[in-house]
Amino acid sequence: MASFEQHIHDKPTTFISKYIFSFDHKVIGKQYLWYGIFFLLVGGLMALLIRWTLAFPGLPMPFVGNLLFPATNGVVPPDSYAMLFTMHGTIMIFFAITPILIGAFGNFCIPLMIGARDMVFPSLNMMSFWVAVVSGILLLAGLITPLGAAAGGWTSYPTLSTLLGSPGIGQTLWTMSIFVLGVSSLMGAVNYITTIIVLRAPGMGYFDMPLTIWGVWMTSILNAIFIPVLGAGCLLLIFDRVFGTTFFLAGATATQGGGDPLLFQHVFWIFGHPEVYILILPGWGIVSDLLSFFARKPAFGAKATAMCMVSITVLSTIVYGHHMFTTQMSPLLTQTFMTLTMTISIPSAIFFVNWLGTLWKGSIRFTSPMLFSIGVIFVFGLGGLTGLYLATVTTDLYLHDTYFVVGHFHYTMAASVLLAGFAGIYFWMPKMFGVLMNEFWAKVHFWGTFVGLNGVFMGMMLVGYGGMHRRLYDPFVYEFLQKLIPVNTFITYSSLIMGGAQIIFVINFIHSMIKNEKVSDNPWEVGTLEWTIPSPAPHYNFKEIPVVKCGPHEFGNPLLKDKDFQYQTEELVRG
Amino acid sequence: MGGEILVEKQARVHASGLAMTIVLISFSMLFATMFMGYFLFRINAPVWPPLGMEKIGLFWPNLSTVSIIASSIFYVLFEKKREKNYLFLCTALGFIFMLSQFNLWGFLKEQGYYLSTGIYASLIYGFTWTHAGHIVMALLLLFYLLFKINKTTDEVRLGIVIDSVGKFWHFLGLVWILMYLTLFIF
Repeated sequence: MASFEQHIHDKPTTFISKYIFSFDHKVIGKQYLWYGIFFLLVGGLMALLIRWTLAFPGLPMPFVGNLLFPATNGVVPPDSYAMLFTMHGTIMIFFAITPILIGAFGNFCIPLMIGARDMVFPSLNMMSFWVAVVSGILLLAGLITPLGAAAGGWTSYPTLSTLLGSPGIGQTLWTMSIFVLGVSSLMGAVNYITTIIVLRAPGMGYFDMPLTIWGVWMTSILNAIFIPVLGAGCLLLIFDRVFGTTFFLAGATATQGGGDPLLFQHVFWIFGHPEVYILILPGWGIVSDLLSFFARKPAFGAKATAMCMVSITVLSTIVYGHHMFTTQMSPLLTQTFMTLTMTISIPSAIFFVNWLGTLWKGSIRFTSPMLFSIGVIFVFGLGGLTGLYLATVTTDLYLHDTYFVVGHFHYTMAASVLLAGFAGIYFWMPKMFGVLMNEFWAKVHFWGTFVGLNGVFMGMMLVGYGGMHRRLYDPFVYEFLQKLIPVNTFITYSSLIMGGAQIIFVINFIHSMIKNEKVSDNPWEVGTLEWTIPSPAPHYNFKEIPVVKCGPHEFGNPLLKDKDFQYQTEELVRG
Repeated sequence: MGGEILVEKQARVHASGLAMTIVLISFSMLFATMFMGYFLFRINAPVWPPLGMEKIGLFWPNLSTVSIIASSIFYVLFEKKREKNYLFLCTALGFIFMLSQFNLWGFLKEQGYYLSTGIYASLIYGFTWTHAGHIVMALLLLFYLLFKINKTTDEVRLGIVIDSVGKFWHFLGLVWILMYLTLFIF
């Protein structure tokens, strides 16, 4: 397939064409970054409110309590609590991780790393962002409606999400918001997939692409196929809520045939399981690249890593039943889903071996992106391994819907993705904004985050194993859980450490922007295409479309005299 | 230089074709999910249609089917001959399809099939609404094409638009035929 050269567009001159309605993938990437960071803040503060309630049930929230909940003298009331965990989940998954990992890094990295001037459909790209903004407004609008925002959990199972469970308009807005966000994600996915296929620089085969691009590519494919499944579910839920159809209302009318609440769970998880891989694949890609970049070694088994991503992508589509073991599924089916789920550990294990193989005997540079990447190995290892207990039917029956699940998916989706996201931000900062962040404070940020998040999520697994269920307003009305109050307090203090560490990041970020100390084109000494151009990247990216002659991880070649890496545009030095 | 322009043309056509295919895969997943729901409801029901319900009269669905198939055929003719008249006929038939859908909804109401009358009515309304929503989008695109066809100078772009709208239109026809067979006939 012939790749083609896009024309160099005129430099945008007005404020609006430059920063608001920009066609430039780099600006759209940054817009997604701000969008994601804003929602990360909102979702994070919600998490702190939840943690406060669990550690100190019945006590008023200090500082902001009276402001937010004047009716109860600052105590988080039960209905607000349900709203908080619902919105926390929704915001973090759909409005923080998705925009940062897929929207920001996808947009920013794809053209730069494959040697293109922009996405193949720049206007579609811009629309994708602004549709996402509409979706975000719809979601937040729920918070100011009379009965409050959605409160049926981020999974929004009927009947919690039908008019019986949540009569307010908040749930309708939630459903519409997710549908609209799906449209936005789909626009993005179409753009990403097509761009990666048709705009790779001449000479760049699929295995010459950095693994970051592989991750984003696989994510986009999953997005394009499975977002519409949730879209259909949302559509039917909207029909039920607004127009009075009965898709998810169980058999009130026996003669006419009732609906089926379980159908939504099927639809949700057919989408939902691929979704967790949608969230983690870009992170995996970034980490796979960064480990090689900073171990100064070729990525161990890079092809195998890419193929593992592909096989995980395929496998992720046929395992969704493990979320529904307790819905009276046929045992034959539960065993099937269990086996299929366990199968995912094979490519995941290869993945891990490749990561460790990359580190093995490398000349590791402990820069901040590297620290965060190694952090991902640790937290994803824990998250992945605890997944096995949830995939096994016998143990899942006990652990289902406990905090063990919450700990598990926070390790995999929240901790890994957060750390990978920070690794990416620290790493691409020079290319995005033309500055480097302070290394020392970046490391402090890492340790604060790392210690905090392990305290939080390890603690969650402990209390979950102790039998504490998720989504309970006050679990300690049950006598057997009262002994878990100290652990919960510990989790809350850990979450404060984790939250506090983010302040360091924000200050470091702003400080480096104000200081505006110019960096060289290639401060990390890495050979991928984005480091061949000036920092920050000019609006046309590449003056001349580069010709790719070797892979992205050519480090430590002993035949090289003056440096230990090669640019992808250089012929591989052979003996 | 001439060769390069040709390559770029081909690449643009290729990219757009690819993108439209991905979009259609997405749309088919949307409808596939709805069909999955339909089959689950249907195989779990002791009788179908559910007790107290009767099959819907076929007059309006038949008209819809005929008009959308004819419309698709005219689009194919338009793609081959690039004559505006065919496109006009295609759009008109698409419009008739929409009218027949409105009549179908009116007819359903007359027969006492309201939205809240259980899952059978829900399915028919849900399916036809979702499909009709896409038809409205496609009709807008067809109108756009009607206005644009004699005015545009960018032949490559026009070719891409004709190709993409065509794919979308045929896809919607196909989905309707599946709906016609499963919801109304069998």
